[in-house]
Amino acid sequence: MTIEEYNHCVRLHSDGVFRFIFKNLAQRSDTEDVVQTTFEKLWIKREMVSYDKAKSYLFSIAYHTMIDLIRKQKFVAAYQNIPEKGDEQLERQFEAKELMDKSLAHLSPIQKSLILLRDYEGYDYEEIAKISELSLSQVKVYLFRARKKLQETIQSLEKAI
Amino acid sequence: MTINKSNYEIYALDYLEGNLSASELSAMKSFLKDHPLIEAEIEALQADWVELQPDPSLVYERKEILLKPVSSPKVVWFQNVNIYRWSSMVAAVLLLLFGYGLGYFSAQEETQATVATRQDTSLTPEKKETLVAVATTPEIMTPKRTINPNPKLETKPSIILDTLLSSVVNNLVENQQDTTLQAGNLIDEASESVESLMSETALLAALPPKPLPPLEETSSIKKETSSHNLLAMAEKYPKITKLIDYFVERLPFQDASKAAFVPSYFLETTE
Repeated sequence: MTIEEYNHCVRLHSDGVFRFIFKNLAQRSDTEDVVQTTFEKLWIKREMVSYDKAKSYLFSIAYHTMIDLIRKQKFVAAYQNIPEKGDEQLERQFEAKELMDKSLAHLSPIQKSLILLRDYEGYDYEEIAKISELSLSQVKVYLFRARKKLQETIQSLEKAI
Repeated sequence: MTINKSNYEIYALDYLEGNLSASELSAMKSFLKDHPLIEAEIEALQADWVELQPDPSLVYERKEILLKPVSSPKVVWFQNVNIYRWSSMVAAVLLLLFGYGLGYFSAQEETQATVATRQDTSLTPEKKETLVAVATTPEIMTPKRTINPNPKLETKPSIILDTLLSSVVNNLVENQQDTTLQAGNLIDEASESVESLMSETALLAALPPKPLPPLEETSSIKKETSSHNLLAMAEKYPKITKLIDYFVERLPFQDASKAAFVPSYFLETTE
């Protein structure tokens, strides 16, 4: 790809990559490091990556960089800050969002990544298999078990509230 | 195909999303009918599923550090590394060939000029008489000294001395060492000796070649000849020897044999 195409990838996909990694790590500084590393690798390999394959390439690099970081740091996800009371609608929305984030934190890094790739970013099973370097069967099994666990966690958290 | 407890999870999501083929759907329904607990688990998953939505507030705020500057059209041409690389390689090869050709032809001319100079010795009758007298002296007639018909070998010591002197002078200039008058006088004196040596060599080359002794004697004589010739030269041209000693002592090396510009056999001894 050309420099212009690379810059276009930055503007188009940096938010999605950032969001995906941040949902996994929940740490802004680590997330920014992963994003910068990811785009630097794309820059180095830009002549070998076509523009239409750039998005999946970016998420693949970001995913593996994140997994490496998690293995090194044995990272545990942190929760987002709770807003001040007063705006009931915002609170309700935030409670549901917070509930989901808390539930996601109970998943393993691979399960969480696959859920985010599927439900946040909209990748199909074949693309997720390429990004995560798992087989198609493994991806479907991981996703099925992740959804089961998410459902159980949300139900138990709702009962606690 | 058969769906059982060990592989039903592979088909579960496709079953919920309606992506199974006819045969797969039939097999899945048959399996779930036989396993009602698993069927309830899968059905509940679909009913209670919470759609995940991307959070629009999560944005990467430092895009500017990821962006790369776009080059001007002129530079873009050079960004095609393959073309630039090939052009550079072709230009380098052409320059090398040109330089080699120049060096080859100039060396040919130099060789011819050297031979022409050496052989172009105008011998006056007086000089010829002197030459015959010199040629018949016992020193030259001794078997230890062979006159090799190959003129190149005869001029080798002079060429080496010339090369030695020029490299020593260049080394001095580069290292800015010892620019004393003494060094300059030694060089002048040695130059006179070199000139006389070269003229004598030219005269010797003009003489008719003597037949070489048998091969066995030649090899042993050659051994002795090289060292004897050098010693004879050292004795005959003490100013050159003095010059060599002067510079070798001032070499920045502890071991003079490491001086790359001094031919090794100059540093050899007869021991």
